[in-house]
Amino acid sequence: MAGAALLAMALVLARAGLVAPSLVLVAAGYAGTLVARDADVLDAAAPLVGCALLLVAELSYWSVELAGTGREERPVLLRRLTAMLALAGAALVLGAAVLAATALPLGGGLAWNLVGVAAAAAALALIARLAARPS
Amino acid sequence: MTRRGSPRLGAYAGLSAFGLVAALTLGLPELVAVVAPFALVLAVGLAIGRAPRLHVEGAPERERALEGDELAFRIYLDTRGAIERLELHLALPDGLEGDGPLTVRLAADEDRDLDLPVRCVRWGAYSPGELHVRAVDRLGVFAFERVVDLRAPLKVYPLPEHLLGLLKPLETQVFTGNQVARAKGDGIEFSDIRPFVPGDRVRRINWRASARRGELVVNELHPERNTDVILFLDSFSEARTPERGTLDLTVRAAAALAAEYLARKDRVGVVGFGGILNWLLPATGLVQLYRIVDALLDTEIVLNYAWKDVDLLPRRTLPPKALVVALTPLLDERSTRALLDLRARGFDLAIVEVSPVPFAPPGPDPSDELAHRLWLHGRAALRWQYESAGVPVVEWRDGVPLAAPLEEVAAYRRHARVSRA
Repeated sequence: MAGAALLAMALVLARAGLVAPSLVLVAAGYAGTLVARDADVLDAAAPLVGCALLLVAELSYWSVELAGTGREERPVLLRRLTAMLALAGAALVLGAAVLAATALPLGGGLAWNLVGVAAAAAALALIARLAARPS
Repeated sequence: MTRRGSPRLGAYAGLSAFGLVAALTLGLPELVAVVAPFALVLAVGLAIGRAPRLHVEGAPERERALEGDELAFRIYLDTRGAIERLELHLALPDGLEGDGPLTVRLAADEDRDLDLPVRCVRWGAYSPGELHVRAVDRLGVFAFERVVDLRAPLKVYPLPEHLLGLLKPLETQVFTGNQVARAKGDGIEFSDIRPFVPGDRVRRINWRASARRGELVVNELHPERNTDVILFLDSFSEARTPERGTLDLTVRAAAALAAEYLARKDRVGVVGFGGILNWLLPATGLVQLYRIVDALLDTEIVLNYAWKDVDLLPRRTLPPKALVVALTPLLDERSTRALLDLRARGFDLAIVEVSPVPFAPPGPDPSDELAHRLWLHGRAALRWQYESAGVPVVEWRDGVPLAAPLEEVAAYRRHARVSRA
């Protein structure tokens, strides 16, 4: 609820900086519901949640951009909408694939935890490196 | 071009980090599935984000316009690779208005011509053309920005007001013009009759009067002469609101008067008496009209505490027998004294007071209202001082046609002429 309220404020005030915290709050709320339910069963709706979150994020940023006095040509609008829908579809497929991968019976243990930490750290490091690369 | 991360960059990175850390900490693999798309968008956006190769040219469609005109700022775009979203924003100075930023898409190797509308709200000399260009990549992760300098001169002239009548000078000059002179000579307007003397033309003999008198008499006529008109602009200070002020009215009136007097073959000069002193010697013709209007575009209020009087002006700027039409808000003591000085030197002076009263309403307090009334009384006393010196002063307010105060001045001068007789 807090996330939704913050998102509404972000859209009304056209503040892009408030969109990310609102999404984090919504994701945190979803994480809370996962913690509360039975941990042995994977939530099959997770890819849908991810897809919806991505759509909300993209549409929110688009709304904030359009809040100014500018105007977009019609082909730009149509292409952007098409790209957004395609991105949402790809997000759904990717989320489903990731969830399916996590369901594989690989066992547990410290080793797999370390692999997971290393993978997460590597992903974030790669992102940081690409972000720091000059254009 | 300068690369800047969009708000998505930080947001998606933060969200991905939060999801991955939370998934590891809480043991919730679903969170990985939730944030995986964000991480993918981020990674792909970072990998493909490259500065586009874009060439931009542009200029206004013409260099001159009138107040109220709308013209196009033509832009030519040429790109090597596709640009999914290209935002163009033409930064315009006060006095010009546009439609705001425009977002377009350019396909690979496409070149396009675009017209950005520019509305000329106020007269002035401008140099529009600071074009802010922002190219956003396909996923909107990065934006590449650049400011392109396409500045070109644009002169917006004041909208001329058509005047049905003008102020007639007390004295004319020696050259041919459209004013009926007081002197007698060759012309069209009848003046008097006198006895025939050898050398007079036969066609000027008034046969009817000659028959009544029993001697030859000839007609005398008033010749048509031109006049010298000096437009005296007070630019020491002005009263204004955000939309308009007394200087705007002054410049528009000066442009209208200059155009009308020059059309009647009179010589017109301009004196800008203010923080910056400038002048234009009287001349005639279309070229002089363009010189005057270009000089008017440079008129602005410049704060200056130095005392100035008319002695600073070259003598040729104020020719003898010239009609001096002063356009002034009568706010600065320097200009009010200079005008009295001109009258004392014998110039034919008429003052159009560009009233600052509509632009300076009283404050809400009773003391503000009292101060305002005192100010109005002071202005009335100043007008009386001019009228005592034989100078017609007419108040002209925003929204009233210029012809109205000119007719009042003409009526005052007619009355003054009868009193002298």
